[in-house]
Amino acid sequence: MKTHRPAAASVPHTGNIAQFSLDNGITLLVYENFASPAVIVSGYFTAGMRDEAPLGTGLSGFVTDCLTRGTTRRSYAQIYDVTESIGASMGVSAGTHTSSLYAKSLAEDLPLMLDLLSDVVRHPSFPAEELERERAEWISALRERENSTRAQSGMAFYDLCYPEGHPYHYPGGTLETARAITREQVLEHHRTFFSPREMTLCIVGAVKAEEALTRVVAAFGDWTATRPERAPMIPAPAIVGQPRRHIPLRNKSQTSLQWGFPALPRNSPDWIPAVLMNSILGQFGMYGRLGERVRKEEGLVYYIGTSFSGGIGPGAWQCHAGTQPTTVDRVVEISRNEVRRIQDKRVTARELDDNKRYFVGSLPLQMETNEGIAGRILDMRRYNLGFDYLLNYAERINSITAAQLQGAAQRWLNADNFVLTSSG
Amino acid sequence: MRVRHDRATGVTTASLSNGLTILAREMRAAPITAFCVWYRVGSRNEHLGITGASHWVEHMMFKGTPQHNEAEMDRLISREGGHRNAFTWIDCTAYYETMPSDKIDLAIALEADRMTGSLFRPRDVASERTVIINERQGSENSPGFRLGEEVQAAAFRVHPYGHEVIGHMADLQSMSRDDLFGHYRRFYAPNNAIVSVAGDFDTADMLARIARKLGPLKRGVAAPKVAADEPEQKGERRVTVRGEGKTDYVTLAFHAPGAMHPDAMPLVVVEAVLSGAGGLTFFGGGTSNRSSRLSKALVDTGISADAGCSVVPTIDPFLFSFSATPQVGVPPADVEAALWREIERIKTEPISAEELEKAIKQTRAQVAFNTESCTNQAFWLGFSQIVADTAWFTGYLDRLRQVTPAEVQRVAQTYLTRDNVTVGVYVADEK
Repeated sequence: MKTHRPAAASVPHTGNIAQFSLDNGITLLVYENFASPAVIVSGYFTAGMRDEAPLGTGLSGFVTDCLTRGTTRRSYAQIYDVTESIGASMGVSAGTHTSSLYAKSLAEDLPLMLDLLSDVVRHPSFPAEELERERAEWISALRERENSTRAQSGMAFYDLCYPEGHPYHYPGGTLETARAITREQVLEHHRTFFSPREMTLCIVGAVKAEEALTRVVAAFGDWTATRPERAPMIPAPAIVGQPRRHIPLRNKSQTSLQWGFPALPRNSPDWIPAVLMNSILGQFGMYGRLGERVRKEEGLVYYIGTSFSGGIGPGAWQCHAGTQPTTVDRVVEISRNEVRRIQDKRVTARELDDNKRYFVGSLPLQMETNEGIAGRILDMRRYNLGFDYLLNYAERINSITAAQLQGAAQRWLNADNFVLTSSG
Repeated sequence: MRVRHDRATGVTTASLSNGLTILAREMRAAPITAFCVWYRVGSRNEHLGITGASHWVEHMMFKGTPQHNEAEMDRLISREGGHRNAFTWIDCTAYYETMPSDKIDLAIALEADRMTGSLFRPRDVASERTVIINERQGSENSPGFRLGEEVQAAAFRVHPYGHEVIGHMADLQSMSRDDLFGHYRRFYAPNNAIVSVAGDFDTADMLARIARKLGPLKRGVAAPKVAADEPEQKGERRVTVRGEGKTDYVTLAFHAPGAMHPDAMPLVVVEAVLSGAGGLTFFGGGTSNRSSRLSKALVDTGISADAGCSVVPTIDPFLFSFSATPQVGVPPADVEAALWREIERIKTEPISAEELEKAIKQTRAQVAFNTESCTNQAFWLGFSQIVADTAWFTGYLDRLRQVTPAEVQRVAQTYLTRDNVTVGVYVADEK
């Protein structure tokens, strides 16, 4: 078995990630990188769509969008005047399980950006007039979403894939819920769920770790809010049969399609075999085996690919493509056959070796930028992978066998029971 | 090989006897190298009948040579942990690989091979025809693409900038293998190409590696010049596109000078003041623009959901474009009027010293962000050489600092005029 290993010095690991724990529960991770005069703050805390009651209103996303609309110390205009006058950017956005926050600036402006981030996360004033402006922008975005084949197909996919009552079932708000959310609900959501208890902040860039710690303590150290425990998510039943939905949109030349099913979370022991298998199926080179068959040989699509979207939760495995309305069934048929093939027959030694080399060799490319480095560090933290995960990454990848890939394909793919959605 | 090293910028420029230009910059932060090959051919080098040929040729460059079949090329790069892709733009076509540095010879060899050895097999031309038609249809799904295509066509009566890079559907259906192969042979030669390379390498060693693979390629016939000067526009042009959806869109596009023109940098400041500093190229980036004049005047007042403007560096005069998405219930004419109010304001009042300082700081940050990675460094070097030269890139911030409020006002008065505009409106039919 060949072994491929990245240069140890090029990956973040226990020895070069400075770790700090604040008394209020915040974990700070700092990776010094003086290659450019820039710095990024990236992190997450436990608040998101899962906290909405009822689920699916889009309240959590509206709250994070409104954070920069004004605080007890700064108006909306002041927040953006300060941020943009130094060429920086900043934001908070809600996901299903957590909300993410980021700031990017020249290193000389890090103290100011941390102060701004802290201000908008901890002290938003949600001015009524500004909330209405944000609501109007949200409604405009929702109206544009109604005219997007990819968005429509994607929303239908999760609607069919996960049952009502499961947070993945919902598309993050509708025109009706966007119009109905009140300022009181916004205030209540923020007051109840925003807390430093499970917050992780990662700072990467031209700053010393101790300096970063001092600045984070100054900005977030006296924040003591707590939040209630969450109820577990309801289980998602397996897909039975082939539920199908088409969302017709007029005047669209191309149909967006996707088919798939709930899959596995990021911390599953099957994750690495599953993503290696998926790479062979729909990613390696130009869209893997599917690209060879559907794009190169038959010219049926401009894009096709497969992905596992699991994170904290199971997400989904999806095959997605854009094709002409008349060739949707053909694309689905070919891709189902390729799924059967990777389940029935082990991948070749050459395919396995190629993909192992790709996974190991491309690791440094994922860390070309401060954002890329922060993303890998946060993944290790969020999914409890251990901070030496990347140091041992090559060994993990190289130990995988073709039989393990076949097992993952058999456990996590299904060519007979799946959701199929399309729009166009 | 002629070699010149600029110690101030760290950029080495070399040229081979076959006419190939090489730009190199060492970056030792990570053990990776980005290698890009740029050809001076894009949609500006096309005419009716072969619109989209440059982009289609880009696709064919992935279909194989006598030495490497298509699957083999993809496989070789990926299995070494590399990433590669390509893009076609109005002024150029570029191919790039970002690789672990110790594997970069592979990228150099593959690019040397396909610079003159691509096969253009008829069956590959046939399958790519449907792939590209699919790509165009995917774009057509977006009202923004349909509006942009009409605005560009109306703005340019003579110059090939008037058609989209992907080409007209009629040409995609009718273009022949010989049309494409002829386009390839005309423009793909070392004397019409630039190599830009950035990353973890020793420059002298890298130049020798490149020369070994690309040096033996024969110089081609000089590529034909684009001799289509767009006549001065003498009055407003207006296009309306009707279609599905609930959202209207408004665009104002003004002819603007190319990257080498002295007025180009003051126009960059106009963009920064009205809309926030752009990403400097079409590679993306850019600041949020919530504190910009357009955002305050159109978005904060509830007239539009978004509003912005942009100017991109080009070889020939292209467009300074404004775009806005009217809020529900706001007629596009009101949005257009609001855009004109801001345009008139920057023409009649000098920008403040604070606004100029903000534009400079925003751009300084954008340069820092855009040059963090060796892939972006290689992009910048090559792109600069396409539209101007490397001094255009390395001296960007210095030139920006020299811009005065009076110059900003003058260029706004010169270019943002009623006689120089093409107004485009997408009217959605489900409101």
